[in-house]
Amino acid sequence: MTGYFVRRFLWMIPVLLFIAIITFSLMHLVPGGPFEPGETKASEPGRQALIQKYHLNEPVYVQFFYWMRDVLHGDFGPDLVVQGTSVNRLLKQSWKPTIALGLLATIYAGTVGYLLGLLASIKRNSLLDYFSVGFATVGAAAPNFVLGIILVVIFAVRLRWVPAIGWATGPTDIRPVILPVIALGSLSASYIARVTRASMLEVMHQDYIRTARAKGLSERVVLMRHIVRNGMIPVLTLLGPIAAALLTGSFIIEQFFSIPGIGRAYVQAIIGRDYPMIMATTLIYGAAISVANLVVDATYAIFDPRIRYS
Amino acid sequence: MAQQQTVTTPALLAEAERQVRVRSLWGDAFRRLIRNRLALAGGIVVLVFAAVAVLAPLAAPYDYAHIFTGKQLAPPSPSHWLGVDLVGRDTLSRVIYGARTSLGVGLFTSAIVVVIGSVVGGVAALGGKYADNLLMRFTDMVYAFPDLLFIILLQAVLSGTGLGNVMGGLLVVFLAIGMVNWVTLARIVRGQMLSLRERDYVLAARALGATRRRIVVRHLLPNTLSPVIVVVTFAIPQAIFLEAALSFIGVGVRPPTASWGNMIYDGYASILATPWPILSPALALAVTFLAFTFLGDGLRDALDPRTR
Repeated sequence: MTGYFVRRFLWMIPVLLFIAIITFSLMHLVPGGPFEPGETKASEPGRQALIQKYHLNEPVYVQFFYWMRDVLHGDFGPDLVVQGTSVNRLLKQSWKPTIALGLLATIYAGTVGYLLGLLASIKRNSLLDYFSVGFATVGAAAPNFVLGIILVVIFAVRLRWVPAIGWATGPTDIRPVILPVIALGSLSASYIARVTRASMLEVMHQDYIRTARAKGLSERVVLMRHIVRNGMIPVLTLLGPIAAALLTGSFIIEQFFSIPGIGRAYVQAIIGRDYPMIMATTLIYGAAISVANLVVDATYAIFDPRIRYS
Repeated sequence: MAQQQTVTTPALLAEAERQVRVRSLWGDAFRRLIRNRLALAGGIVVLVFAAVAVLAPLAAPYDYAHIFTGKQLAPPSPSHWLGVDLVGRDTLSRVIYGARTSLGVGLFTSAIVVVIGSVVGGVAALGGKYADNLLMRFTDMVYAFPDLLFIILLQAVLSGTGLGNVMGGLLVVFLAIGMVNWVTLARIVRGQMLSLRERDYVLAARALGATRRRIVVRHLLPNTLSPVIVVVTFAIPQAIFLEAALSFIGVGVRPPTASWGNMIYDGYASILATPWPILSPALALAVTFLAFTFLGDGLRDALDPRTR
């Protein structure tokens, strides 16, 4: 099995190379560039110098090798739109909101989804159960930025409890964080609720639960030690893929709430034709998604010993 | 006793034959589908959505681009049921024409997805070992590509070409989404064909001397249809959502062409003044998405009862 994961890891190299080549060629097919007359304030000799400096007058494949060489040295190049900064520096600023948003959304989805599913399964056919099933059905289908819009209209515009846009200025500044986290995490929360409920109900009908009751264990012990613990396994295996999806899927939410994360940086880069920034964000996302998929498969193998990869 | 049997057997046979005729694959699936209340509701909403989209010029009270000067940001009233947007256009009319954009995106991108996906999946399954390896490695690579990033990038690239101005940027949206989303379908078609190829009835057909062409056309293709239908029912809302997302971040369909995504973008600018211009397209999007998802779930259960 170790061999399998080593091969999977090595497979990432051609995949990332493929992503880099495709992105690079596509980008250079786009007419116009950052230093076209009218796009930049630099004077004509200055413009020529910039083009020279960034090898923009060379054939595309030569530019690709220059770029490749720098990336392998850990340098994603200068930022072409914001003069005087490097892509590395911009990335250093923007990864934090994206990671924070993704992790908080995962925690929110995990706790809310799990508790809702658990309570629904214990109080089956109660009002709470219906609410949780309804939440799971509707939440699973509503696109995340639609939820964002509804939340903003109610809680930011009408009630004015939280700001409509922006991001935390410090670790204690939680008010701007609440809506994006709920908007991003609710789809996953509803999914977790559904799986938890089904899994708990399945465990409750197992023979060993009847045995536990028959030998006189209190209802509390049966519930906490036997049902909740065993019913949790499918939910735990879900957390990996959900964390992966939320960490890399906050694009639209970042754009909607004006959160200065990587997703927003990417959209700005596309609009501004900022080649080095587009390349860097695409590669980072590609790598993140590949690693996440690998971790997801590994967690499946860890939690379910029946799964064998070869 | 023996006499009784001779009387009832033809009747029984006729009854059995009638039942067999009624319970064809599609009839059976349809019956299972309409028994599922959520799927039925979803299906009805989808039909209404399609009808509104097709009949937009009749259904909409005004032209989607007409500007009512002086009525900007007016709240809902008898003459403008959902109010007027920042520019002065009737929101209801734009939601109705936006349905047209969404339906177009859903249908055309699914068509592209089905064509590329079936060809790649089919050739991989039937074209021999080398073709299979090559195509599936390629599919794996496209799969590893962060899809929304790729769509945005393709969108930006294609918009720069002459195609960018066709139908207010819509054509490019179809192409960008279609060129990325075929991967799942290719995998499903390939898997389905590989497993069908080993079935006994294919062996029987071959033993009876059926040509390769006949086996593919008569046995393999019809049997991949139901998973393809299910994938398409989920691909349509996915494409509708992606178009809205693209238009919302400002790289999709451009105004004045109405799209729920660019309406949300426009509505966002006036969100503090009035929520109608942003809530209307958002809710239309959510309801459509929900309806397609319910219909898709129902279709999956109806076409393949084993997955339940």
